[in-house]
Amino acid sequence: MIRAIVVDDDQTVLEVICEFLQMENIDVVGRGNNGKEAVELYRKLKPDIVLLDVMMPRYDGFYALQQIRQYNPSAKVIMVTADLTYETEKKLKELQASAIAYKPYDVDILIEIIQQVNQGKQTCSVNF
Amino acid sequence: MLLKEPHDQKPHKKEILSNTDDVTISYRGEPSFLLTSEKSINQTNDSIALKSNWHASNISIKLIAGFLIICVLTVMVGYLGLIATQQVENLYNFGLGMTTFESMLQGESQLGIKEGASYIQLGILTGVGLTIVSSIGIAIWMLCSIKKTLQLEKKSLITEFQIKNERLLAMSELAARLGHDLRNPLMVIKGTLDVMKVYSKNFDEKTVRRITRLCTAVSSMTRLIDHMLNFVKTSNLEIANNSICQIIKSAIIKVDNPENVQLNYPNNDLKINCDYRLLEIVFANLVSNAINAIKGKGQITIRIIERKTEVLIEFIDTGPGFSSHVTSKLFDPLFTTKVYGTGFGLASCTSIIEQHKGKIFVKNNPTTFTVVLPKEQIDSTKVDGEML
Repeated sequence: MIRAIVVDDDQTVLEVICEFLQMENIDVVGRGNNGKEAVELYRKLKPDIVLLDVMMPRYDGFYALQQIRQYNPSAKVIMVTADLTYETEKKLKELQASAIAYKPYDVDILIEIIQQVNQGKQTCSVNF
Repeated sequence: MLLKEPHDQKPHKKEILSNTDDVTISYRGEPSFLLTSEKSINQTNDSIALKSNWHASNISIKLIAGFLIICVLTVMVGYLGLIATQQVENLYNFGLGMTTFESMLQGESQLGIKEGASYIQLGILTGVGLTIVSSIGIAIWMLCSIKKTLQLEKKSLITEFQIKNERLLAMSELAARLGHDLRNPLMVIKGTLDVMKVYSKNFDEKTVRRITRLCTAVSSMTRLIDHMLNFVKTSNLEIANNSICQIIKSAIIKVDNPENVQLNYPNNDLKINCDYRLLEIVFANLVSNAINAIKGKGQITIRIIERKTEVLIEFIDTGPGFSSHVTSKLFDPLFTTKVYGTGFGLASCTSIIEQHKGKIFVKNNPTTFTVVLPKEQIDSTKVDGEML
């Protein structure tokens, strides 16, 4: 069973994602609301997958991704964002995000991405 | 032809324009201008006024005033000249009379009167000369004053334009922010619906239909936000040497292509410096529009024509074409002829093409959308020494 942590500043988004992941047999071991919590959760729980929102107040997804990469260069971090600009995409690629999912996404596609990333595939810039 | 935007486009591009009550900013090559409710630009002189950014009404008033002053002066001088000539004639006649009767006695007087008459004539001539000179002076003064006013007008118009432009920029920022923030609640609705769909086996048929209806509404909202962001968001071009055919092919994959549509691909190809993803959006839009226009049955021909410095890409369809009043609004944002259109499709195309320093236009018989792109694209990123 895949162990995942989900981090998003929007509580309802968090609930929806977690509910769906659990339905798909993905164990959500931790939930966080900002980048700092994401880093702490990662260090504590060492999950297989991190689902990380990019735009969060104070400690954002970029910060968390950078910190997690420093801690574990092979960490599997899927970035979730509503920001579709080149700049964000470029920055996320530079920080070596394992995949990028654009909101609002099809949950089926999200599951597919999680499985691909879990198998070790780098799927940067997923278009859907 | 109808305006339709293909699904799943990523927003990149910005160009601000607005159709608010009191401001219209042209954005396709024509000089940018304002039409405000308070400061109206004369319809009759609008092209001149617009080209120079000058206020036509003011120009007319000044010119008419100057013309009238010069006319009045001319009439006055003419009248004075007439009176003076009559006086000279009288004096001269008087002088002649004197010579007739008293020539022997006052021979010198005649000469004196003759001299006096020529002095008066000289005076009149000088007067006329002075009037002409002063008229010219007044005309120059009028022109200078008009020029000054025009400069002031121009300055105030530019300032006003800047203010409006900044307001529009702020509005587009707001739209971008709003679009972005709407994605989270949309995500919740979509996610919840997806969760419900999983359990749909336990629902009755009506509930399943309701869920489907909600899903359709969410995707059309998502599409609208995407297209709006496509239009207002800014980003630099990612210039690379790309094959036009390749872009066209990948654009067509993104469009739902009905069976009865015959697509004629170009038989030549060309590589130009351009942004692949942005041009893909443009081509997908144009093909999608063409499919809509021919109502799923007919032919669409794409041609690549090479010119010296530019390349023309034509999208020709066998559809009915446009009426003239539709053509004029075709590239305006929010204008659509479709029930489910967002009105951002061709507006986005225009701003993308303009970002490439190109042009896009349409003509009827047969309906042809032509995209003109320069072969050499100035790559802003290379200036910074960064290679893409």
